[in-house]
Amino acid sequence: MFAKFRENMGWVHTWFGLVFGFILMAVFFFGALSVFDREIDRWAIPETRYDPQPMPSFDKMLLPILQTLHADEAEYNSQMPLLHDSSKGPMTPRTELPAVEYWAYTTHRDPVLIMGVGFEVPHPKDPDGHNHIHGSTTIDPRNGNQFSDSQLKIGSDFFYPMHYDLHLDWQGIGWRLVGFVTLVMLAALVTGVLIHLNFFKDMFTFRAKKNLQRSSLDLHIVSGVVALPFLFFFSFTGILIWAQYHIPVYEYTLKPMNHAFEELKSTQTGLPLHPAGEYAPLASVDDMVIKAKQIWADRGMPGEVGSLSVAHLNDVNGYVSVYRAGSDRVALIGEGVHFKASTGEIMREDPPKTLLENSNEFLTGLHLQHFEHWFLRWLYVIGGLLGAICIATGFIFFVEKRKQKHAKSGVQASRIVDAMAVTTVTGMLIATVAILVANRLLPVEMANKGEWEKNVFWITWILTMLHAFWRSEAVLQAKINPAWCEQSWALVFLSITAVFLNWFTTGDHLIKTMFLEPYWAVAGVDLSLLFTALMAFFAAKLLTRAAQKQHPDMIRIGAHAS
Amino acid sequence: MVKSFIVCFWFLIMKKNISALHIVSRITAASVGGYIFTYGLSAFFIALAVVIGAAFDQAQMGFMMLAILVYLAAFLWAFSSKNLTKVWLILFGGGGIMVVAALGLQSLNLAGS
Repeated sequence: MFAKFRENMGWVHTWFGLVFGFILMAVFFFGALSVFDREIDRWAIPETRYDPQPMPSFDKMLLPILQTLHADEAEYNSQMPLLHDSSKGPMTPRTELPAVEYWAYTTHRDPVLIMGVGFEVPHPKDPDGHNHIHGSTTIDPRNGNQFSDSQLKIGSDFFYPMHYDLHLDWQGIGWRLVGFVTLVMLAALVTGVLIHLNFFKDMFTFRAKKNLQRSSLDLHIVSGVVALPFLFFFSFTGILIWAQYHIPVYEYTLKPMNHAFEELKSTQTGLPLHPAGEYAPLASVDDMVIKAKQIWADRGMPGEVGSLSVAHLNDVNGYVSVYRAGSDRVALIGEGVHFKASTGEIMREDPPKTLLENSNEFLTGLHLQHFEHWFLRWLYVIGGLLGAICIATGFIFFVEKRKQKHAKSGVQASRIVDAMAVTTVTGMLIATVAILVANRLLPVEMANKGEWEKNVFWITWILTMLHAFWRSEAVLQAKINPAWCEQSWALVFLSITAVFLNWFTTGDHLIKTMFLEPYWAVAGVDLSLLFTALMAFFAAKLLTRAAQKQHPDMIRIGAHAS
Repeated sequence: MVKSFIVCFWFLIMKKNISALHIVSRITAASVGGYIFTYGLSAFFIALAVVIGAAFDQAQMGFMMLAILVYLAAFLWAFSSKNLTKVWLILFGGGGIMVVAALGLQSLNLAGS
């Protein structure tokens, strides 16, 4: 494109980084929050503030509940018309779909248990496809009480999906977009290093006291270099987790080959791929769990059950898979033992993993980090936030480099970029704290409470964006947008409010959650909110001082331009 | 506001005497072409690995790790290469040819088993 290689790389870095950086901000920030998704859930649903529990009895507690579950209404309404073959008669009503699979999953951080049922579409258009509609519930494993769906798990069901699909469900556009922007992140990291390769001393210089353009560039480079291994690793593994869906050769070009492989694998493992169509009851799953635990103990790796599933329910070909929780290593779950569902006899023990499987599991497992390691967990948060800092300072540098020139020529670009930066830095934080405040203010018995909380999040975020654009005229005069400072104050106020609301509505104040009856999930969220308030307070103070110091000449230039 | 943003973008391009069409062509080659090339290469090597005896899931798992780096390299190459026609030919053409070759390997494999 340009004559010099470095110019080309600089162009890619600037423009792709700018356009997709706003999305990357959300991916990195909500990724950092997702590290503590379960803990945020505890904060948001006070009834679940008790210790993590092991997998309860399947026969006595889980099965009776699973038998009462129905397919999720939203999923039924969107999927059923797509999967059902209308030439074979009307659609089977939602509550009459036959259950064909059960699952339950828990980790060392889960006081609650999530479990669900897969229902089969009786007359599918594509008999070879995955014709399942699902239904799930959350229970208290101590007594089997179900939690209402209107109580949103803000951490694991809102912030976490925000990290990987931005809640853009339509046609899977969200996770596809996140995949592409993550590739852009990789490209930005590589081009960033290439641009500055010859200025090695750039990489370790931070002139905090120099002008904003200089210090924002320094911070951009320092955060990028310090966190480079982290950022590259997480971007790479983030794509890897979804890679086969991003490059779905198994589903299109090589579908017959994959199909043949699935059939072959099924005959090798003895685990049937399809139901036989002949009824068989379900034997005691608790007995199978005891056997599986015995097998793990015999191998010198005793452990808890992480995941349980029943395939081809009520069929002769049905089987039960019991997986060991991976709290003590990188893999999520493993050491699967499979039992014949009707008799409880062992059909297969998963063989040791191949080198390739182990490496893949290590890479994706380190990203998903379901293991028990609290120090590493905090390092992840810091790494994720460093990523966000790196991207945000990139925006600031873009603006600072151009705003004098734009102020003279009347070009609006730096004004827009600056307003978007406000939206994705302070605006995003405000929306995040706002959903927590809404969670504490809205009454528990409110129908669709969770939906309203989500609405508060989106509306607040849009309001911060409107505010940022409304106040952005200052940038046209080469001054700092006052929205930065104003939104910092809003963040101080909201964060402190959230902590107090938690205290008033649940009685769990910090002295209690830290010292009297330590409950670190809630204390951690409260402390993080207070830390956010403190940082926002300093930011607001600094911005106020900077605004007072702004050079009068620049205001004249701006006045002239407008 | 969006308009002025585009004007600024345009200004940047014009200053360097590069046509907008050229930029759009680069971006398309990098993102779409890079993707098609990666898809084709993945399909071809997974099929090839299965033909010479690897299990499908293992071949897929192994090549996905490489595919990410292939896409990244193709993406950056599309912006740095002097000859844009060559970029288009290799990324789109090469990707297409490898998909066809993968289909060929697949039918060979399925007919043989």
